[in-house]
Amino acid sequence: MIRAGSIALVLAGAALLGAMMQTAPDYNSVVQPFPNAVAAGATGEARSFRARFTGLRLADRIAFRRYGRDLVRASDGVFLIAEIEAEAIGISQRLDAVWQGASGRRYALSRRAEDIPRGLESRWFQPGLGNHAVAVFELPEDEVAGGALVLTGSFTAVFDSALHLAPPALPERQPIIRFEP
Amino acid sequence: MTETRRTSLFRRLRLRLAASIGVAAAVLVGLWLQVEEARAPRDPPEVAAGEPVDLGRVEITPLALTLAPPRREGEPERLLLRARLLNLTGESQVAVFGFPPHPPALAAGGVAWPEPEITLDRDGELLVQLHPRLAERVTLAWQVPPDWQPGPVSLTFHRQTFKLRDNLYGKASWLLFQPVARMSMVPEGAP
Repeated sequence: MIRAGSIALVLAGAALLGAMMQTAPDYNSVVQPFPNAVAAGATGEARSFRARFTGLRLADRIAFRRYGRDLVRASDGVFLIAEIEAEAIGISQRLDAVWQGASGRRYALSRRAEDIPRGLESRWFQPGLGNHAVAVFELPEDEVAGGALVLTGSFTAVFDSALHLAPPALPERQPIIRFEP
Repeated sequence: MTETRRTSLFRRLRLRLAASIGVAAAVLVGLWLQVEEARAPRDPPEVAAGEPVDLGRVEITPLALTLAPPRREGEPERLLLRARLLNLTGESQVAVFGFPPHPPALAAGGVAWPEPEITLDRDGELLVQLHPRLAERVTLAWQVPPDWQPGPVSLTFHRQTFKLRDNLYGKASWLLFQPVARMSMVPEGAP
């Protein structure tokens, strides 16, 4: 009787350990910020910032001026220009953006559009002061509809939320968009 | 101890010894087969221009290798590899040829050349990023060493291994590089 009880105890322990191993989140998911879906036009709030997706434009080419040179960038896909309004909560900070396409692939800010006027990568957001910024992505056109703009804090994203901002209505694709200072 | 008992003990020991040796041999052979499977091939397979090669993060399709005149007077000639790159991962890549970068390695007469400069054909700027599903044409340019005599050169392509859960933290990691393909050819335009 005592022997049967011991065996049952060991089996129960093994089952408990197995269940814990199966359900423990792995490293890849532990170090992700908490996803927070935000409806189109609404303001999303994370622990360290709040933001709103104010506009979306699509273009075959973009033009801007950098270091005194006029540059035009073309793509086999499409340039997606996301306009956002954001402010920090508590402490000044920068924001990082990724476009999560319809297929789930993640498109980083296009480095071919670095240093555009009001570019997100060069913007600081202050507590209590709303600020506008532009994020430019380069991606295949079929990744636009059904995608979302994912905004995170640049430095402490892990213990904060990632705002998944649904885009406003999709606009017509323009041949070229010029960024004026 | 009687003679019969001694014989029986000896036979049992012999049987157990043979079984142990058999098991140990099977384990060793199994381990060795795994090592052989994981080991990089000494001679990676030859590929021809136009054949895609999987480098882990990207797929490269070498198109043509040409000898080109110097960009400016006083500079050495350049060897240009035109290629097509496609990001195979689910996110934009800054480390297109892995980290540390392992672009195709060019060697002539067994001597390795310094790393090439990689530009985007679309606008002539340096390649800094590659997005998923957006294939790009690029040019890899090597400066020709002054003592090089035009002749056959070899290009070695390296693939970086991806592990979804590595052995240290159980996190997704890009690990070792292995040579996966080689291309030998005489550059077009060589006298």
